[in-house]
Amino acid sequence: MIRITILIINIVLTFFLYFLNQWFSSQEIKISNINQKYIKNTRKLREIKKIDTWLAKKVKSKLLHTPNSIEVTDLRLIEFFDRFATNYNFKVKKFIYHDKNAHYLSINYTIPRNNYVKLVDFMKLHYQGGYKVIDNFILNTTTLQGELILVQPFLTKVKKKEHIDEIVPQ
Amino acid sequence: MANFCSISILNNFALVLSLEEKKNKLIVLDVQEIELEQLAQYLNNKKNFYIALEQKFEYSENIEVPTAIANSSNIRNYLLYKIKKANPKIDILFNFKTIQKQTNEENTLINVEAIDETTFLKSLSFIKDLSQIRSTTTNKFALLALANKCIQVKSYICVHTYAKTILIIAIENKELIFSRSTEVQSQTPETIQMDIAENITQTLSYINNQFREINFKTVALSGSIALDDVIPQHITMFSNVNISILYPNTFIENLTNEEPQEYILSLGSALVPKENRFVPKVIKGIQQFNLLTNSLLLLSLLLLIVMGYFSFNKFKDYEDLLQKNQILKHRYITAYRHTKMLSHIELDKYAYTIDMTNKYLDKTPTDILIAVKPLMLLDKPSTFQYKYEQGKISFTMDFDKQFSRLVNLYKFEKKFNRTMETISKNILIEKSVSVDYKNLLYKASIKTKKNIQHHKRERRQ
Repeated sequence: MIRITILIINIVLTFFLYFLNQWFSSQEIKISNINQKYIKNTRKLREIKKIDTWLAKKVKSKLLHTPNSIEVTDLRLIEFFDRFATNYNFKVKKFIYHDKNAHYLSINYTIPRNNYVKLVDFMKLHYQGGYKVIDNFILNTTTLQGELILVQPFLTKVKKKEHIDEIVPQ
Repeated sequence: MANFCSISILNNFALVLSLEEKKNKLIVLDVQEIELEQLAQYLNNKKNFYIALEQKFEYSENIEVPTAIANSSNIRNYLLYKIKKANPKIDILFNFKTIQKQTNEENTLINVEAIDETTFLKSLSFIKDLSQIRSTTTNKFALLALANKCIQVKSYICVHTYAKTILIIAIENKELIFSRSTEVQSQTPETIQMDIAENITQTLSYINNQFREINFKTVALSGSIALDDVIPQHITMFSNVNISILYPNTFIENLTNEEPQEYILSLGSALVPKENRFVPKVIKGIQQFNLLTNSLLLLSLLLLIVMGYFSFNKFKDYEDLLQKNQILKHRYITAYRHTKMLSHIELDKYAYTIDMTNKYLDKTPTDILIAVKPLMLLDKPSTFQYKYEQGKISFTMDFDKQFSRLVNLYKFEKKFNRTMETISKNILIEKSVSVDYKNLLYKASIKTKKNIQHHKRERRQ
């Protein structure tokens, strides 16, 4: 009787251990999947962090310099024009025009060719808080002349999937 | 080997030896002579019984079995049929062995030793737990087993006496060929002695007559007769045989001198080979059941150990995985806490700014100026036109150079061509050159072969 009892207990324990094994196996699969997700998501988060750092370092400064009123936006363009008008013989080609995201000022410029320093300075000229786009130039024997566009973005609600190629003047 | 009990029962008395086997020797731990009524109580806490019983009904015959019956179970059935035919009212329990195989004849001679199973089982009523029985046999086979262990001659007769009971067996080649158990009826010691001596000599004569081809020269005495002086002399006088005494002392410890003679059958019961054991069906069933349960128990234990091992390994793996999970979770939470999650609006602003930057940085002529710088260092272009249109860049450069010496013109031309080759690797340009060697004038015009699609700048630096 004792042997049969032990036998039954052994069989029950064996079955219990078998099902425990099965349970461990299924749990292992589940946890492995979760671990894989953790690894993947952690990797993603690290990438996001790198992008955040890059954004903060490279892009955030531009956002901070972007004005949020139309008047400030226009004044910045005008101030830039006035500051370099004499140096580079700026003439307004097309006064301030805009789309939903930026204001633009088209300027004609003329620089004597023999003043190499001025030529280099012009090329290096940086428009703080916006963009200076040299649309075209012609370098002849005496002068460098052409057209540049000042682009001054301003903060506004950006509609999703709105493509800026369509609104930016060429 | 565990301790065991060898029991022989004669005339309502049980002779019990508690034994232990060590290095092919039987060590006697205890000896008891108990009345049959008290035996059950005495054996209450004991295990592993080897029993030899006295049976009134003992059937010993040589039966011819047709050689056509070859299968062991069929032979058994045939023999059972034959025995039952001779003893219809007896519940038969029997052993059999082939005496000689007659290959040229139609029959095989088989020796059958049978007892009454019901009576035999009743005789074992003193055993409460039948599963503790290891061997059961009759007294003559117990005597045979011990005699075979002690005597090495080919054929001999063994005589065992206990009180008034005489047990005589004849043995050839270690096989029992004759047995007789009788009880003398005399009352006084003198007449008992004489009756025993007479009975023995008569039986010896009968055996010699019955088995004329066998020369029984040795008679081994055991039991009370072994301690008697008169009877052996009487036997020698009338039978002309060598008398010897069964002497098991060589493989027994703790019994000295004549002590073993009293327990010859008990000792023999522990030595009976399997083929001479009578195991009733009930006991066989219990033994088989025990064997089965033991095997299953062993198997289940083995399975349990194997499953336990696998489960333990699985548990360890599971534990390691859980630990890894905790570490990964912690890393994830840490990474999550240290990562600023930007809103969609913020992301859109960033994306817009980046797109704007890319778009307007693309428009810079700096890349073209850097690319054509080697040419400009060679000679200042007379005109240089640059235009950015529909996302594509086009430019034209004109060179117009006057030389005073032909060698300079020649060297300039070579240099110009080499520089052009280098530039052409990066930008698709086409040139038109006209050299006026008369007036030492070098004219060249370079322009984009087709409008250059500006490659996107890498966002991340």
